[in-house]
Amino acid sequence: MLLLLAACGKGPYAPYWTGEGPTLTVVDPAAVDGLLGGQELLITGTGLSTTRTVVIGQRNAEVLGATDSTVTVVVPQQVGPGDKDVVVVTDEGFARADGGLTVQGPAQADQVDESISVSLSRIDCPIDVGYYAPFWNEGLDTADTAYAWWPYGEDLYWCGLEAGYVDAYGQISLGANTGFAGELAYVGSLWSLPAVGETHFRAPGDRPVPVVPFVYGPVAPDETVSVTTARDFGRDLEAQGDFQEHIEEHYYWYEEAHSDHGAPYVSFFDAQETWLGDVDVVSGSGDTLSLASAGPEEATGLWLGFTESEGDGAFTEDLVTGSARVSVTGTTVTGDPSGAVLRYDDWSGYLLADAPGYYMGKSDLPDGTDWNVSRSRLGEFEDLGAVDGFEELVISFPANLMTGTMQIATSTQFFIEWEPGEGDAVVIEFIVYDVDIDDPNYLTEVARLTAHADDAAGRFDFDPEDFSQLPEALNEVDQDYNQIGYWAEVTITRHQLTAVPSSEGDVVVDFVHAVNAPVSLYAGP
Amino acid sequence: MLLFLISCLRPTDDYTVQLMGRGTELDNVLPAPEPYGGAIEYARFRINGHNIGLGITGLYGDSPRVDGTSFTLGSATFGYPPDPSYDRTSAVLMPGPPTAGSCVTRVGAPGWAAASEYVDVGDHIAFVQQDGSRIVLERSPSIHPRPAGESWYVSYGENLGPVVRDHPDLPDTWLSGVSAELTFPGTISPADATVGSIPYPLQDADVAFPTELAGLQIDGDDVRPPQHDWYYDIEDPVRFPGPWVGPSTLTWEPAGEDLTVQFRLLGWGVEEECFETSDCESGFTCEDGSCTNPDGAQWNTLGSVTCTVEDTGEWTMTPEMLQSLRDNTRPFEVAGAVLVVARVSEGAVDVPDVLTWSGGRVPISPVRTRVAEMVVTRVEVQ
Repeated sequence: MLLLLAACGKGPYAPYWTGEGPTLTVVDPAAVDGLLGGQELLITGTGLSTTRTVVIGQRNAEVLGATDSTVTVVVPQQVGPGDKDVVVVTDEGFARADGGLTVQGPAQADQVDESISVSLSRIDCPIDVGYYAPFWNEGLDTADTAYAWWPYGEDLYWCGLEAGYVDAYGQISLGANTGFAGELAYVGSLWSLPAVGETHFRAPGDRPVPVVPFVYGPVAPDETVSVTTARDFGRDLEAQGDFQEHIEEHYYWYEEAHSDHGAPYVSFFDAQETWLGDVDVVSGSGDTLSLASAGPEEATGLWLGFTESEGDGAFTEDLVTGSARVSVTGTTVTGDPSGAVLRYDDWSGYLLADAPGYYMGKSDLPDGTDWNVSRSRLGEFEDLGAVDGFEELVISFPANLMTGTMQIATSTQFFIEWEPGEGDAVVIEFIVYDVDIDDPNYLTEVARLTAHADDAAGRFDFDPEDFSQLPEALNEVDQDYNQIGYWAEVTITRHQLTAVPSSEGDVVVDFVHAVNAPVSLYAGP
Repeated sequence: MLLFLISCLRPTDDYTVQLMGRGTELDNVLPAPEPYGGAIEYARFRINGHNIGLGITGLYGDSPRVDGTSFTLGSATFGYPPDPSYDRTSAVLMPGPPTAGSCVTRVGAPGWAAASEYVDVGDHIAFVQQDGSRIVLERSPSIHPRPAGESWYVSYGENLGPVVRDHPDLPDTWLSGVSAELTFPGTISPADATVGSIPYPLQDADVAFPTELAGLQIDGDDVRPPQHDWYYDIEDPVRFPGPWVGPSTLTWEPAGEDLTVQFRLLGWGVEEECFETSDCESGFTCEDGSCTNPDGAQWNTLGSVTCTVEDTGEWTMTPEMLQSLRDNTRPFEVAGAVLVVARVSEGAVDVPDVLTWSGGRVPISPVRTRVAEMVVTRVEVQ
């Protein structure tokens, strides 16, 4: 019987190693700044001369050399922020230094216990784009210019008349999922950042930024996470007016085509998100909107918009600038708070914004207001408190970013300037795509220059040497005005991360404001 | 007794039943699969047929359709102890019989390879080309999420990439008729993970990329990418009748590497919700609130006939080859069909032993490798 029981203590497989393995004593430096890796690391211990594999934070490190007492390696890219295990494998076994290397990323402290990740993002971008049309040069003398580039002509949309969009996403993870909120907007990834003040060039063929891992946590069918601020329809209408001014100031065609904005109106939707009709707006204040005529009382949501018309009405397009959940009584509409109520979607696994007609407008994420975070599940409501945000990113240079007609000579000094803020990171990315490649993932990236800027500094100067690594991207079109060749864009992103404790870990909210624009890159003189 | 007599009144008929295995050629019976410690697969898909979606990859839905495009797909998993499913099944294209000139009929959706525990081999797998450039299959997950008790799954690739060749800046993502070195860096999984790991790098292993499949025709017509003109809403229906009532002949440029030809019957399937057909992507109609492809769902394979074909440049499919598949498929379930013609370079590599999560040593060699050059086209059903 004793023999039988003893057999239970024997595993099915023999031990991998039988000899004495290596030991680790010191990892130097013990901490690195930035998530892009590349720093040399000296690992000290014993029995290291036959080192075959080194793993830091589960990513493979390049081994530069080894002696019996040291191994020199390069910190791998994008291991994520926090304390990372360092593992060395030799012919005789392996040794692990638990938390041997601390990797400092942006807003790391806010994200440590992140179990609910939320991103509210607003992207501003030009309505249309300037481009290079070489066939227009035929018969012209262009010898004295590097190339002839035409900012205006056949209108080619970049972001369309809405000039951007807003979005809101959430995810609930099993256990801490550090850094996930910063990735949810799919813009200005925090996992691809070098240290503050530095740039990183991703050359053609370099490995992509790894996807931040995620494990779905338990979610109730009625689960909601809300990030809201007080409704002010007056503010929403003012934002609409500001956008109309933006159109007038930035686009040549406004005056040339005798455009007109039209009066503000609302489109109503019922609980099934079926469109019920449009009604003109008279005024708005607080949570109350006054209509020119009675609205449908079965309405549960609305879009706020106006009609842009060009060429004396020959061309019209409706723009949505905001949305609200509402109740309607005659000509009076009462709205819910602005922001996003994120509901669990069992098809995608995300928490998605409960937006009327499945669409949010820019005024749904107003800047300069206080926000409140709450959670509701299985009939229980948890008020998680107030957070700061959303701080608008105002770019002061280059001034023509939002016209879609920016050109940069990559051989010259270049900088970007903005009104300083209190964000956790400002990410500036120049990305060059080859639009000719048939890509199942939309566009094939050729190169990327990423800068990690200090928001409080309000300016980032690019080293011309870094900048000149980007290939020429003239943003060219063919005779049918289809994009061809290399195209480039720049995206400037401000992240504002805040963590609020809940009964099941931290809710991390990332307010994201990004400005994206096409940019024509040429080698210059 | 009365009940017994009443049963004699039940109508009777002749049913088309036959003894299992009757008519089966010996070459059509697959040999028993061998145990393997994993599978590393990479493929180029060329969608040279009408109204075909990404469901053909098994990773995505069919909407929007992708006919006329091409893309690459890599997929790899490892497991211990070694399992025959890595030999018998494929994430890209189910293998044909080992003997050229024979076919195997499979009824039902193909299964997946599986082992008791997954194995982590490092943060990527790479095909290293002669000039040093690499085709990389990244690990999923990129890092094991914490707490690592949930670290039970590891795979590589599982996503689509563009076909890049002879680009001025970007490395090739597809090669033809050459070998590439196969590498992975090795790793140790987190202390509390339940996956195994290979601690050492893979060295001295190669995989062969098949020669390009060129000049493919069916009954004299090119199997080519459709040239739709979406501006004028004109579709280019690259579709072929299929060998339903008579033979259908494939021709191609031979290169000394056998072909795998697979005929798939597709069932119905729905994509996104809709109110009317205009809510759906091109090629779909709105039925019962869901966008439906009238040519069938690529991800819903009812069955297939897979043949290994000698590379002579010509081969004829006959109705008899499909009979067993038709006999075992209910007609009302069949919505469409596709034909896949492929050159598959199959091999095996030896890898270092696996370290189990509990510290044991398990040899898992060999690991199956497959690189496939695939052309997918549309076949009518009758």
